[in-house]
Amino acid sequence: MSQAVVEVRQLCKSYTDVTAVNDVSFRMEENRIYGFLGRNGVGKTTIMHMITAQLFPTSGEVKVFGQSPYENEAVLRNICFIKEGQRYPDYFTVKDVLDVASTIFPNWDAAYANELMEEFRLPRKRIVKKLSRGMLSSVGIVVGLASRAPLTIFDEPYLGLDAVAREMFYDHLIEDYTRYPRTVVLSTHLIDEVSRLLEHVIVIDQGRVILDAESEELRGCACTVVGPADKVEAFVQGKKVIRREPFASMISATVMGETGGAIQQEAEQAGLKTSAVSLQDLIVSLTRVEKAVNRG
Amino acid sequence: MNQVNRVIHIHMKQKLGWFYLPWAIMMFSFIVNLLIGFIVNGEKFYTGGLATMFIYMFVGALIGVVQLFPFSLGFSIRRTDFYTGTVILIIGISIFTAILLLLLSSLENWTNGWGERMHFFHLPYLNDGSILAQFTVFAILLITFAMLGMLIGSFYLRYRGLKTFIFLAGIFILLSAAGVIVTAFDGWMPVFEWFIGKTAFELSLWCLPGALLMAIGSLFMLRKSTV
Repeated sequence: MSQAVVEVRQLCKSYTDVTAVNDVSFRMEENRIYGFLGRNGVGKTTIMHMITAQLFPTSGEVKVFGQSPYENEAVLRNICFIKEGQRYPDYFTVKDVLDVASTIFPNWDAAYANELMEEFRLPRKRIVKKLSRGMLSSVGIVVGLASRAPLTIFDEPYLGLDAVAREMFYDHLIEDYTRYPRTVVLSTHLIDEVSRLLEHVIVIDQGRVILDAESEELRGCACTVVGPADKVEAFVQGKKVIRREPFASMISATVMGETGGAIQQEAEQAGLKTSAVSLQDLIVSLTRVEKAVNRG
Repeated sequence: MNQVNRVIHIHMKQKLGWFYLPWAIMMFSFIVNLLIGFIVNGEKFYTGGLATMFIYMFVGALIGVVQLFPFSLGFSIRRTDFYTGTVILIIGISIFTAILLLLLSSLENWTNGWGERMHFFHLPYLNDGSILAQFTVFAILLITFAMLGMLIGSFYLRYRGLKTFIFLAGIFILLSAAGVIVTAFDGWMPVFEWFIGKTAFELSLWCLPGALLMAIGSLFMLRKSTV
């Protein structure tokens, strides 16, 4: 097992009226791309703020590069956290922000930052607070990529960006990651778009980890079966059904099984139609189930 | 470049707030007063324009801390480094400003109030004593005003809006209560006598422990602040 870059144990964060993060544990290893997925407002950003010591946990333990991140320069200088809600001073221009970033991050690549600035068409002299939402996101992307920090976290990095710019971001990320491997965490709800990038997926729902698995494993582990109601019911007996939709005398059900597509073969042998489940559909189904269980 | 230097570097990007704005406002006030000097034609007069500088140190530190702390924290800077950098910057700017004010004050003295007997930079009482004493008065007052700004800014970052309001209201109530108590015990005479008995230099030295306490308070609050 390679070195743990992030190790979180029984992390909780509660406010007076709500528990935002509840008993969360996971680890992230060196030089991999992680997807930190879940719906809006489930605690993703709160967890990332605690990993970067910008918020304090109510209980539990956070270790980054094997140490506590709080007031720890050795840890913090190796983290670049690009967040949606980053605040910028009133008079800072885009150039000022890049200038500051270049002094802070040890692996900063100025030439690469310039190249990205051109591609994302960022006006250097513009005041950051006057940028459009999309341009503001681009500033974060440029800083995040050019910092080449050993732990780079993107929290909803592309709000307001059009599809072309998002594709540019994904391409750059993959390319630069291949040349300069580092641990990248992508937090997002646009799962389909990033699913090809992700090596490992952690899904958060209602302040808990509901899934923590390699994306390879996930791709084959669920499938949707369609067929006459009685046949489908017989097939899903004793299996984990994460979604079930009847229409007329038919039923469409999504089942979780072992990895390696075994469940798909089994269904085909039973004479049922099968289709693969995308990562997005799987997560949507899972978060729905979780809700239903919680309500019950 | 170590972390503290980086913080100072970030502050220096905010030159508009720390340097240009206060000097621009004060020089504007100076020019207006000089024009009035022409109109009243040679009568000796005093202005309060110098107060701009001190008030602006308070405002500059307050805004600087409130705006730059969340930004710096988001850019992987330690809270303690942000604090240390800010304190060093405040002391540096105060010394720099004090020297400039002293130069202008001397110039005012030599030119007999810019030829108009105007007292803008060189004021009685405040500018009594040796050059070193005058420098100390300016520098300590500037630092004290800035520390007050930093304290209130840090308090806001730590406890946010409502509690900051309650904190400030509480201080006003305490000060008013102190005023009432002094009045009730006929204590104003000794209080005035105490102040009158001191030179500006001695009074500025009395500000030092206050500035130090405010600096320590800010550190404790910033270390617990979140974004």
